[in-house]
Amino acid sequence: MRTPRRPLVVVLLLTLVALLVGYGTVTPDPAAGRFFGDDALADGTLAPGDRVAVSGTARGDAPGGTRLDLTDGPTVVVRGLDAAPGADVWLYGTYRGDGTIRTHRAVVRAPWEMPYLYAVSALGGLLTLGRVVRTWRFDADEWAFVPREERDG
Amino acid sequence: MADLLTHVLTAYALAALPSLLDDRLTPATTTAAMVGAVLPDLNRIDLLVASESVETSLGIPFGWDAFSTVGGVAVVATLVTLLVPPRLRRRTAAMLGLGAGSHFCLDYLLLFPSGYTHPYLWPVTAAGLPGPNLYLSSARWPAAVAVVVAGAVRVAVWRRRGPVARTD
Repeated sequence: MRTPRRPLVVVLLLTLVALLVGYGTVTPDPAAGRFFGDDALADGTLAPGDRVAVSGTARGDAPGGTRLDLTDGPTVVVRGLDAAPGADVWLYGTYRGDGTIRTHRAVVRAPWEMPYLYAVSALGGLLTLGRVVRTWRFDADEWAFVPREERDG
Repeated sequence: MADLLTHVLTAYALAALPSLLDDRLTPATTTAAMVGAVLPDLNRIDLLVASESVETSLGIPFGWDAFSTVGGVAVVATLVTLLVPPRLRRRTAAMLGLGAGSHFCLDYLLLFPSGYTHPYLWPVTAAGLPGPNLYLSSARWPAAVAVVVAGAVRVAVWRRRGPVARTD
């Protein structure tokens, strides 16, 4: 029996595109727990006192703080940050009028920790992909994926 | 975004354990739960094609992080459900939901420097949620715990079905 799923798939794909575009319109709003990021520093649109949540790589001491190369933004000077050169930094702080950021809370990670996260995550993805291949197969008659333990549906 | 290994092993344990009691739950439905646990991390496409690149080339707002919200996951999970025959859709949808739900629960516990999580509930609400800030996505112990728990569940499944079963 053929189910009328094609129109539904089209509607769902259009909905997905709408969500992807819609999420792009979500802007920072500190009152709603969404803070300015690296791009706001790149654009230079911040006002003194704005709360920011940025990430980057520590590059050693600078007058008044620590130099931080933002991942998607310029190099800034951060006050109240204790991070060795090369460390990955993710911090929440206040943008100051002199172009620096005062730290409220920072996550400092050794350079190997993010590669670890990606490697172990890739392992999880491969594990899942392997199980999909072992436990499901594509049935051309039904034009659908069916469990392998099923015999001819 | 605790690490993806933790997410899929958690989904495995949550789906394989009830399969000991209910014959409708099979190795294939356990896999569906693991796929569900992967769905919120589809926002990692951003590492290959950045949202900003899409915005620049298409000239419209765009954010892969929509995948990491209940709205995006609901749509993708429904699409995946339509890839299986009608007789299996309820089970598959339930398992995808179990996996994705466990993913959001574990990620809600993550530490964010601001104290607010990603807006996981979007489009219901675009607000970041005040979270418990328990651990980092790069922490090692969640994966270690997940490996031990999933391993114990796997042994239990083996004892029930026999180690010679092709899967589980």
